[in-house]
Amino acid sequence: MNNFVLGQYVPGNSYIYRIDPRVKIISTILLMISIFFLTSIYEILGALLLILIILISARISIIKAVRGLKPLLILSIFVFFFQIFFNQVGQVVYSVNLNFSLLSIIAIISLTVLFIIIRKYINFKFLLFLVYLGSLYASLVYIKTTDVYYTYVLNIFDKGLETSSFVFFRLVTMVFIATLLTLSTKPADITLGFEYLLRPLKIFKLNSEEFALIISIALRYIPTILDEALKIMDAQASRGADFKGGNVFKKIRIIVSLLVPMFVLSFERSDQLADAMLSRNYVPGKAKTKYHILKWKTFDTIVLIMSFIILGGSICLFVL
Amino acid sequence: MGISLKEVNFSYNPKRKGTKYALKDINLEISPSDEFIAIIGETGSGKSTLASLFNALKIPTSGEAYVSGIKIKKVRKRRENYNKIRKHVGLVFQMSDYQLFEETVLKDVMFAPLNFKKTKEEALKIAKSSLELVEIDESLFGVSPFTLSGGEKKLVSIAGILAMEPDILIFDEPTAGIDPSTKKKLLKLFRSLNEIKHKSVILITHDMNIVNEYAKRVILMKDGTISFDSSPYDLFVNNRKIVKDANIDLPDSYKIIDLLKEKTSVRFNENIKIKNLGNIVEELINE
Repeated sequence: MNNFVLGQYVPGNSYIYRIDPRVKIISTILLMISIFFLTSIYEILGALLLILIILISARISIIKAVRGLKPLLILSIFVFFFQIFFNQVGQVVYSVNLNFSLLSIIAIISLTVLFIIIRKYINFKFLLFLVYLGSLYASLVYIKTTDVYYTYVLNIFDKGLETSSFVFFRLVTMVFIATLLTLSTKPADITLGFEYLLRPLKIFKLNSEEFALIISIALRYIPTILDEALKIMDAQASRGADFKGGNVFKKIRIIVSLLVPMFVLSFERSDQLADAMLSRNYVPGKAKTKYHILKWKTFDTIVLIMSFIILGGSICLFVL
Repeated sequence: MGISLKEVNFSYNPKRKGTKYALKDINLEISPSDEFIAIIGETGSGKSTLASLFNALKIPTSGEAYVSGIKIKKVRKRRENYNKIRKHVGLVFQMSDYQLFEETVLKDVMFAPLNFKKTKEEALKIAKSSLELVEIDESLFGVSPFTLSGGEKKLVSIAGILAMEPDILIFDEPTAGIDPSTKKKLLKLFRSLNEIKHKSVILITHDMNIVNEYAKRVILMKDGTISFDSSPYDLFVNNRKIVKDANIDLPDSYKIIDLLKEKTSVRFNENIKIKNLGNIVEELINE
C-alpha cells in the first residue's frame, strides 16, 4: 500500500502542465461536447489524430493514456460487436456460417470451463479473454459435422462495420480527452479549478470553497482509509478470519467485521480532524486568504480560444 | 518446532526493479516454549514486518520460513488458508481498534475460537477464561468494545488472541500510549504467560527498561537485517558500541550504574545481571 497513488497524475513539465486548471477543465468539457457534433468516422479519426498530436507534443506517454481505456474496454468491445451483429444496412462485406452441432457445443462448453480455470492462474486476463472469444468463433466456424442443429449466417455489412468503428473510436477519443486532464493535473489542482469555477454559485448559497475543501479532504483520506482496511483485514486474518473461502453468509459476516471498525475509526478521525481545524482558527464559511492563487496567463487565453474554435468548427461540420 | 527462518528476504514490491528489501537475509530460530524475546530497533527497521511474517500475513519473497514445521508459502487454492500457522502464533496489533468489531466484548473474544471450529460452548468457556486472565471485569462482557477506554481495549484485544491458545505470542508495541496501571498489568501478564504457562512471548518495543527487566533474549533490527541477537545483559554490558550505533537509549538502571561509576568510587560486580533499580539498591547495600 506504500505505493498507492491517487488519480493518474504523472509529473512532467511540458506546456500542458502549465495551463491553468480552470482552463483545462473548461477546455476538456468543450472538446467533449464538440466530439458529439462529429457525424462521420473520418471526422472522429481526425479528432483522435488531433488528441494524439496533443498527447505526443505534451510528452505524455501514450501507454499511460491507453491504460486509461482499460475500465471501458469491455464496454467498447461489447458496443463494437453489438453494432456489427445488429446493424444490417448497406452491402455485405463478409459472410460466414456458424454451425451449432453437438461437437461444437461440447467444444464451447469445454472452452468455457478451460477459460474459467486458467483465468485464476494467469496475469494477462484480457488477452486470455480475447483468445477465448477467438477460439469460440473458430469452433463454431470450422467444426463441420453432419449433425448440425442450426446454422446462423453471420453477415457483416459495410455500414455496420462503419458505425461500430465510429462508436468505438468516439469512445476512445472521449477517454483520451479525459485522460489528458487527469494525467497532467494533480487532483488538488482539479479541485482548486472547480472551486474557482463554482464561485458564481454563491448566489445560490453554495460555498464553493467549502465544497472544494470537502472534496480535497475526501481525496486526502482515501489512501489512509484503504491502508486501514488492509490493516484491519490483517488483524482479522490473524485471528483466523477467512476472506477468500466460505459461503455467502460467511462472506457478509466478514465484510461487516471489516466495515464496523472502519466506520468507527473514520467517525472518530473526522471528529478529531474537525477539532484540529477549529483549534487552528478555521471558521466555516468565512473568507480566508489563499496559498495557491491561480493566475491567468496569455497562454491560457489562447488555449481557451482554441477550444472554442474547435467547438465552433465541429458545430459547423454538423450543420453544413 | 517453533519458528524457523532461513535466509529470508522480503520486499513489498518484489517485481519492481531496484526494490528496497524490508527484510534482508534473516536467519532465526524461535522455540515454541519458554522464550521471552524483545525485538528492538528504529522505526522502519523491519520489526513489524518481521512480526507479520511470523503470522503468515506476509510471505517471504525468497528464502524459507517455517512455523511449527509448516512452510509459509502462497496459497493457491480457495479452500486453503493460513489458519494452521495462525493457530500457533498469535499476533496482537499495535492499534487495538483494528481488531475489535463485534457488538460485545465477549463476542469479540469468541471470534477466533469460532473461526478455529470450536463449538459455541467451548468458545464461550475459552473466551471467559481469557478475559479473566487479562483481568477484565465481568460487568464489561456485555458492552460494546468501542465504549471501552484505551487500556481496556488493549486488554480485550489481547484476550482475543489468548483465546486462540497459541504457543507463541507476539505483541506489537503493547505498552505504547497505555496508562501506567494497565502497563503494569500487561507486564505481569506477559511474565506469567511465559513463566507459568511456558509460552514464548515476543515483544516489539522501544522501552529499554522493559527489555532489560523482562526479556531473556533481544533481537536488534537495523535496516531490515538482524544486527544483534543475544541476551539483554550481553547487549547493554558487553556491546555498548552496538547500542550507540543503533541509537538505542540505555535502560535507566544502566544509566544510574554509569553515573555511579563516574561520580563515585562504588564498584559493581560486572557478572551480576542488573535488571531493575531494585537490583542496584541491593548491590549498594551489599557493598
